Amino acid sequence: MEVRPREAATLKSTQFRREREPSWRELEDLLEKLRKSSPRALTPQELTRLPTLYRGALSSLSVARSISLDQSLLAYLESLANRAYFQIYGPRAGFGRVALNFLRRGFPQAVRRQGGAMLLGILLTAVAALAGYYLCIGNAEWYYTLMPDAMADGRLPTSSAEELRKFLYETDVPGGDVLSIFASFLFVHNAGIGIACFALGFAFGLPTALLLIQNGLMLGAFVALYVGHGLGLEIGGWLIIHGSTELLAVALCGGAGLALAKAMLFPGDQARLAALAEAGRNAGQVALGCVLMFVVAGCLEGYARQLVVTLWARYTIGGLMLLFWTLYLLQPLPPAAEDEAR
Amino acid sequence: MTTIAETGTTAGISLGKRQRQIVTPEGVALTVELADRGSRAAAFMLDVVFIICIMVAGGILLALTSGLLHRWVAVIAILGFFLLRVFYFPVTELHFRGATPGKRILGLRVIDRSGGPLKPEAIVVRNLMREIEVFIPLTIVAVPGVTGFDSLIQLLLIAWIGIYTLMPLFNRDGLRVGDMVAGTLVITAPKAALLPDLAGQKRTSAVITRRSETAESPYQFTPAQLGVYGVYELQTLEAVLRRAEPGSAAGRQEIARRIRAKIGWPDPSQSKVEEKGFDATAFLEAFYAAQRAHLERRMLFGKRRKDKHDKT
Repeated sequence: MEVRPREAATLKSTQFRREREPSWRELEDLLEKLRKSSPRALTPQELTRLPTLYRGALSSLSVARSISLDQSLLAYLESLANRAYFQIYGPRAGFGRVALNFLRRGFPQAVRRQGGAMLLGILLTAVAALAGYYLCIGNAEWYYTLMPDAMADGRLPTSSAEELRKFLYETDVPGGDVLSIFASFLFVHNAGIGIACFALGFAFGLPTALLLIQNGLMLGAFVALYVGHGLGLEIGGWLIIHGSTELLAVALCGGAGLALAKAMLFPGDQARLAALAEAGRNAGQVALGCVLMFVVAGCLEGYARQLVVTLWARYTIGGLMLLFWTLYLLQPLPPAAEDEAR
Repeated sequence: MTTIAETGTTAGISLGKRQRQIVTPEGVALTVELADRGSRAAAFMLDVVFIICIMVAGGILLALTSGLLHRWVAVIAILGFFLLRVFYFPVTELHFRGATPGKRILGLRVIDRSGGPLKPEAIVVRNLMREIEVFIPLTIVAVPGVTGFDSLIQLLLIAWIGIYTLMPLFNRDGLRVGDMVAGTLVITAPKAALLPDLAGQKRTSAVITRRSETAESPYQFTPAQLGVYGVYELQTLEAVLRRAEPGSAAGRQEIARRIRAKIGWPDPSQSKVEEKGFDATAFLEAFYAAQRAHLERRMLFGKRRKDKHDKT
């Protein structure tokens, strides 16, 4: 028995290709259009064709793998399915939608999903602050150890109460533009530290924990310095007005970093890389939300603290901010947007 | 017999060293090609260049309009730099569906490692991690004394942080820290053209002019002759036939000679072809078509002959 070329010409795979090729070409054209511009360039009909054509290409690929040995055909289908897959399963929502959705539910939800780590971050800061406080109250020498010179900025245990008080109330308030520069500088500086706190969680959380502890120790030492000079109430007002936002954001960033570390050290049932990816996506949302908190903190520190000098007003603003963040982060979440279910 | 390695992937598709398989939500395994580290680095460099360009352009714009908004120049500069540094990557990656401008130019793509949809949070996370991969190390190296440690500790610090920067070199998938934390993978966006079917009717024009298809082809094969080779040899032959560079004629003669010797063509029952009238290209094409028909038919019955050593 001889295999004749006429039979060869009507191979199943050749026939299959002839039947399906027009739909592949159509998909290819749509993809090219999409790549060159945006989904808006497609007509509604074309948009509704896209998923159908994509599934068609996937099924063609499956069929081709089992019936065809034409390597170029397989490579083509593989690449076609790949490119269609990017378009279908790429990030879909625009930046505005994503941002809004994030503020409405993404951020609070992310914080609560890793609530334990967040509490640990807050706890580390608090314990370190207490330690710093009691060390310095007991022995003022500790202040020099805990506080870097640059941060102390002339505020030393040897300063008089009057000098220290001057730092808390700027007597000559500079013009608005200087305040804006100050506020934006503070934001950039703090947000940088916050992001670093999160990212360093990848180093098994050690640098993150150290940063949190150092932050707490400095806070405690600073408070102790003022309390030692009988300015306890005043330093409280000076700190709380922005600190209720800023310190919370630093602690949350730290918590996000610690959550990364936990996933790496104790992945549980999952593979280490999978656990890390799951925790990482969530923790990253926390860090992003904290960047927004730092914007608020920068404004409070740059403007409000300079302009509001009444003690009770400072406490009120700071307290309200703390209340706001607590309510915001612990609010009952609105139902998920429909594209989450996709 | 299907080997275990084959059932691990789909339908015996063997993966190259730089290829990975992801399973789409539809349950079809797609083969993706990992982006090589060089083009990823190049894409990053391009993006950095773009950022610098934006900064320079913004600076010039600010300088020109400084009379109008002199109070805000410093604020805009400080915030602008920060926003560019932190948000350039995630915003562009979101906008261009998984590729920053640099990646777009080099044909790279970010995808979800498990094959699911690429979520916005994954994009944000993988780019926030640049902090410890790029920005912190840069600061430590570029600003002396920023850490407040002496030089020895500083050196250790650089070595330790360098591990994170160089992470893509330490794993097979070329994942950087951000990819690990976000569960993403960077691949090259493939673009293969659909070439004509060698076994179909659409013969390449060169062949049609050389040999009219009306006459019955003198190149016929028996099942025994077609049973010699497997898929691997078939696809190698396909690659040979698709190669159209000049000078391949001599190579084809040689390949045709070897195939004839191996499969014993023509056997006594087959009509002899005079050596002078023997056309290597036509022979190889006929053999390719027949061989493919034979192997594909067997494949339909679940027998996939991997190569000539396969005893299926």
